[in-house]
Amino acid sequence: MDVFNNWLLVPVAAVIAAPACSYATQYLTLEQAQQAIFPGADFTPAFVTISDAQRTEIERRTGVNVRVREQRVWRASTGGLFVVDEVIGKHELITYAVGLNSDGGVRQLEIMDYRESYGYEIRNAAWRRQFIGKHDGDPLKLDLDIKNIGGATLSCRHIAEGVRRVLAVYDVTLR
Amino acid sequence: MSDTQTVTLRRARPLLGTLVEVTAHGACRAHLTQAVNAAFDTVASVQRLMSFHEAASDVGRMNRLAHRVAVRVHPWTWQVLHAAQRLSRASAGVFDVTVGGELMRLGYLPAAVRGNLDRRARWADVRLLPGRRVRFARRLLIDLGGIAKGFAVDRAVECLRASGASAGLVNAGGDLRGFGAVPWRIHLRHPTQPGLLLPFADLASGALATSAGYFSRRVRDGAERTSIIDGQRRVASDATFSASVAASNCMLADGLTKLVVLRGHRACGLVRRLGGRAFILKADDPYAKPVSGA
Repeated sequence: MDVFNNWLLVPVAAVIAAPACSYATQYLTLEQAQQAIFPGADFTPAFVTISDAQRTEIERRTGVNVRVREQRVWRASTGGLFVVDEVIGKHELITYAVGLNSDGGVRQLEIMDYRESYGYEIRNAAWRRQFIGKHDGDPLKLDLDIKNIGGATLSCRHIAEGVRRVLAVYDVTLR
Repeated sequence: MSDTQTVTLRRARPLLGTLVEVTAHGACRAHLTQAVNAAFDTVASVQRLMSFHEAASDVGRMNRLAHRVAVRVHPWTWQVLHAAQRLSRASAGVFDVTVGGELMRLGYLPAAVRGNLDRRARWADVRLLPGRRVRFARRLLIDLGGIAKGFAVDRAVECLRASGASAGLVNAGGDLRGFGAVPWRIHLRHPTQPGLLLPFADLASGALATSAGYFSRRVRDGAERTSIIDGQRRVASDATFSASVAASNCMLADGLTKLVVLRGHRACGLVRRLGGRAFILKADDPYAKPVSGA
């Protein structure tokens, strides 16, 4: 099967659009995330402040650093907890929501925001020259239209660590 | 149904060791929500069946037991193994899922089993027997990482379609497939500066998978190596380009990208014969027209 003859794929040859060096997507607002995980529930804030002793204990149990002392937690009227957390990698900042059942088990996990940012210049001058004269303005402006990236996303290792930390916070402070 | 009533949902969850993103268009928000949740559940099922890390998965069970007894697997695992064997045969073993041992030694996979692996083991040592049973002729470890992600995307797309979404796109860390009358603009990462996103193509219906080493490259024996292993030579690729393959389904596209990463231009003819179309983005000149296997 020829992908071009079947109009499966149209190369963006004519589109000399600007490349982007940062990328951000909001998947869910706070309210949307709450309703996605606990449909129909009402939410009461029950934010948690982690003490020094608790921090030490959480870090000991999980091997994950506690960077932020305040954990944003809501109680769902239908039972369970809704937690918003953030994980920071070298190039990414991910905000996600995790719903916990009344027994502390993970009910559902949803990414709320995904931001990727690289502070570098394009070092390769020859490569950069390709854009000169092809664009008006800064060729490295943020292209807000970017939706679908072919090519690996960063690994979700940080999210796994974040969830481990959230579960320990639950165990140490909320149980 | 008028266009103004079309609802779009876009969600992401961490699955398959990456972020899986599901986008769906349809008429009814409640319906779409169910469809998107079902698509994620499907991906999670594939993960449970084919994860190297989970001892209870089909892959975990085969790796522990199949050198001693025949192991019965789920129809989906069976389907993926069949596709993998077809690719291995067609590529004379360049594509090979029995590279789990090499990936373990390189530190890409955790130590999964005790005992010595047979370094001579190859794809042909994986015997697919009647009754969906699998037997290994030598002690080996399979890793379906090079093809199962694409399969998961195909199943998720199937799920969205069956749930009545009018259009949709599932993207599992760069292995993606779309359907419906929506041109999906796809950006590719620059091969050596992955933060740069280059507009690449509009995908109407079909799959595009991309493999590159940018987030997995490690230095071994003084050279940078990716996690993509040549099944014939048993060495990790040191490719600095990124390889994309367009095909009608994502499992095929996913598997074929490995051949392109491993053999570059020389694989393009084979990719084409197998129903794909290869594109290579080079580090020094990514905007040169994508080279396809014409």
